[in-house]
Amino acid sequence: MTRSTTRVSPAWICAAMYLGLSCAGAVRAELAAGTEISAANWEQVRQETFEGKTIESMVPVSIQKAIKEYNFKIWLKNSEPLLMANHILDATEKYQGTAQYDPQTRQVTGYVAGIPFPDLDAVAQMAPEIAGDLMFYNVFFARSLDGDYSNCYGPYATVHLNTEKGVERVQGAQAIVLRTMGRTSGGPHQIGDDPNLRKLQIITFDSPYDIAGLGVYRKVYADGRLDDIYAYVKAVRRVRRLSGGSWMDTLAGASLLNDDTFVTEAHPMWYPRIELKEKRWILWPVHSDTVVAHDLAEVLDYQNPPYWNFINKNWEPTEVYVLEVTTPEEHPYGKKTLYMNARIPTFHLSETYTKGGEMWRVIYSGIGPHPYDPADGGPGVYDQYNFGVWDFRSEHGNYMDCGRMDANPPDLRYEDFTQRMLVEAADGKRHGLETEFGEGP
Amino acid sequence: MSWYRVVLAAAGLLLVLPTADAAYRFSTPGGKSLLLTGYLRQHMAVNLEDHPEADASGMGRLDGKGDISMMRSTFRLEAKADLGWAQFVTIYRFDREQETGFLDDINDTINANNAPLRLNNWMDDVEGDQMREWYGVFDIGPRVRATLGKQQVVWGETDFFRGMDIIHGFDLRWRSFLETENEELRKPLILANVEIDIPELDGILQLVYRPGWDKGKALGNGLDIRGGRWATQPNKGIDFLPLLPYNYDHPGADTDDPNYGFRWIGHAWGWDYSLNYWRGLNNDPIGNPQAFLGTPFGAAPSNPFVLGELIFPKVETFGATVTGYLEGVDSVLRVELAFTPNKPYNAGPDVGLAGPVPGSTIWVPGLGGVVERDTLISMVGIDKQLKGLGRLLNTSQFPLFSVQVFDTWLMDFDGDDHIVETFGFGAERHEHTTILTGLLQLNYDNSTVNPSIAGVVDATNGDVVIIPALDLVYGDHWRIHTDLDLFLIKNQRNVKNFGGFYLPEDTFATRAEDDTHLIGTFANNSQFNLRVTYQF
Repeated sequence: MTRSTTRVSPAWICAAMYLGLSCAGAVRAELAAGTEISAANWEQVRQETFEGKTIESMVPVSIQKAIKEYNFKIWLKNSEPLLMANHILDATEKYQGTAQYDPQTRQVTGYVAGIPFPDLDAVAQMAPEIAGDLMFYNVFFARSLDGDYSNCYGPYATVHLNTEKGVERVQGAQAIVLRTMGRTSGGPHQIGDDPNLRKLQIITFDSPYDIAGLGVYRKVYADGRLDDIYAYVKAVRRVRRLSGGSWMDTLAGASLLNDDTFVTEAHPMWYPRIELKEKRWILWPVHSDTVVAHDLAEVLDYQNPPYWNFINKNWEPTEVYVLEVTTPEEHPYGKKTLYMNARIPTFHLSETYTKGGEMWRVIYSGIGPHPYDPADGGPGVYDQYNFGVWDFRSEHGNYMDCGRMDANPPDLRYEDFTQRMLVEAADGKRHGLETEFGEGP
Repeated sequence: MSWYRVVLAAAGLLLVLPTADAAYRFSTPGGKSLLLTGYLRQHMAVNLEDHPEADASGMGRLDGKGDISMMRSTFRLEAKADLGWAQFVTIYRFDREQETGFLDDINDTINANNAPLRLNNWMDDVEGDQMREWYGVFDIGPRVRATLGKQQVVWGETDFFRGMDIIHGFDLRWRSFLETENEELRKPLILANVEIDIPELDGILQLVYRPGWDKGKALGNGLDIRGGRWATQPNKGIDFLPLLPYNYDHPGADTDDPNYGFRWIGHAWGWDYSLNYWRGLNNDPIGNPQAFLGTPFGAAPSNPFVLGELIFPKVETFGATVTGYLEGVDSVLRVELAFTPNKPYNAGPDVGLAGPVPGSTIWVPGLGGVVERDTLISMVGIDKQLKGLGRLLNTSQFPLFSVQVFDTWLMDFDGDDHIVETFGFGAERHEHTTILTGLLQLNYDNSTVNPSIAGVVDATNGDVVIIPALDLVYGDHWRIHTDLDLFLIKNQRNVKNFGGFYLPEDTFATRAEDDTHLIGTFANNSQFNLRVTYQF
């Protein structure tokens, strides 16, 4: 990992292409930043280039399907370096080599903070199933989220969409994540008593009535144990233990599995095999506009068929590693393909397949720089600000975007982060610094 | 009728207000907020069986198969205010029922049977408006949270039945035990509920104190003893309240006395456990007989014109629960124990009064006296996601299968006590009464079409309840719930024709009928239930 990316000059590529046989034909037209790519012009632009690479080569098959069949649009933007906050890079440097991977157990021990396996060029040279594990562990331990404690909340946190009928349901929620391991925002890297606890997570719903007060509390571990999961059901006023196997169950009626949260959230060891397939360029909104108190219509085209397309005008070339994930037998998916950014630890896209090999769901996540916080030191950091799913088999999709995201807000301590928060949320307690939200559907 | 106007006005208000989301939220700078949420709901239940009890003439039966037994309208409003330093919650519920033809028949029968001893109509008990809950939640320092006011405090791990969920009684008069959301049945109480974090021991200490400010009727289980829709068979059409009134001031069962208890919730070795103690009231009412019928429980009823009185004696219960996830079998295990020393039971199955017709007896089993026996309730339950079945049935979630064994053990049981299992019925209680329950929940179409089936089997006595149900979700506002409540009864206390008059089968017998157990008292109550909700 370097502090600045190497920019590949389009001119250099063009020169190389002139020397090679592949450029024996015409020089392909270079598209301008701001160009809209849609079903209407796909056939014209797919062989044209942007920053020297053809459009078709940079659009994953699932996004091509969305453009051609579901009226999805992308807008080109020139690439910019992807940088990470100094506190994360400093920790990465300081603790480089402390995280140890055991190829027999596939377990990682000794992780302290930062990105555990930062030299991806070296990792990519390893056996594909080891490289896949190590890259997945980078996201697992150091997922690109600004805060050691982040809170995403709003009245349209979950939108249920149907390609025929449009918006079906809207649910208000708050989702709070507290990193207990690998903290870099100040204080000790590890908090709490359990050295294997990686994070605590709470999702609570506040509307509509039948799910208001429904909440889920999860303890997520680093050693491959299944999560401890608890749910508060207001209708019976009790906290119940849930099955750790729920990680592969559907997320509250959505077209997503719990596993698909922010593209993928499982522990690497829960999959039998994760294999590095290739390194490639894709177009992806990695510098999404920071959206503050936005109307939902600014980020989701829910008023026009097929209603489930998210709107982002900042698709730029970025380099990714492609991982193929083999799922356990009882998992609903046959396999999934993950696109992981080569510069910062985040998954952008998951293409999931049925056991029969048919493309089933596409889970995407946009990422953008969080508003600069001087406490972070150095350049901006990136948050996954949304995620969503297109289910091509059921023609049902979901869009998850709380509307507001607080990073490291001061109102909650580790000691407060108990199951009791579920009951408090059901009693109307709200965390979150902002009170203004945009218009929903 | 004025209540219709209230409901219509509320409906009109909700439909007029523009809203982006399904609840109403008002926020102010600084993070203060007010959330308004709730519903308008219409319940309808239809009898699937004829009721054998006599009608108002005494010479026909109530019957009623295919008749509507409940047409109930409810408005519920929850207001939750977060002021930062405290949260305030109020929950209001307004219920009105229509007197359907079937209920009219029941009420005529009560009027005929209770002519000299008529009280107000039983339907007044199932209607009304109530501020169900009002409480504030206050943080006191970093470790202590106090919830003060009228609220629900729920303990235990048991579904359907109750081991340690005993702080509150349940109101079983309008829909018995069949309403899924038991927060609607539980009777909220005025409590001080203090929770203290003790992270050093990985646990929370909860202290609960009831100062005794509630009205008497807020305590204990409310059963339909007034001959109404949920009266046990064969008692529909007979209001027993004039002969068996509640006494909330009995010295051993005074509802004004304070109740108190604590719970320790901890986590150890991957398991969650709790230890509980509650000094409260026996939630099932106990019949305290007049001396001429049996041995009174302490003080005899002061009113000489009654057979006895219903009281909720003070008891103390010690409990423990354990729950955890068993990765090897991919299941959640729930275990609960609740021990009540000297729990009171009614005894004397063959207590009766000479009836008006020579040779007839009006049986009042259980009014022979009260026997106290150490009682251990134990429950083991397993919740499992059936992942393979989900693929087979093409569900959108993994099907959830839950099975539970619930046992009541009278530890110093003595057959010579002749304890009755259900007050008013002659069947004697066994040393163990074991009930199995099961639930299979399926979800389709992004959990908008949700069929389920639940079963309750009295393994000791053979009675069964089967409840197939379907829940439908339409958008953010409309919810439809339907269920069938099918009672498959092995033995029931029936009604027979004696010379043209329909009377309980044991009216001219030398002993009270003695084969009808708890579920058997629901004989012929099978019904179809429809519930339409507009929520906001």
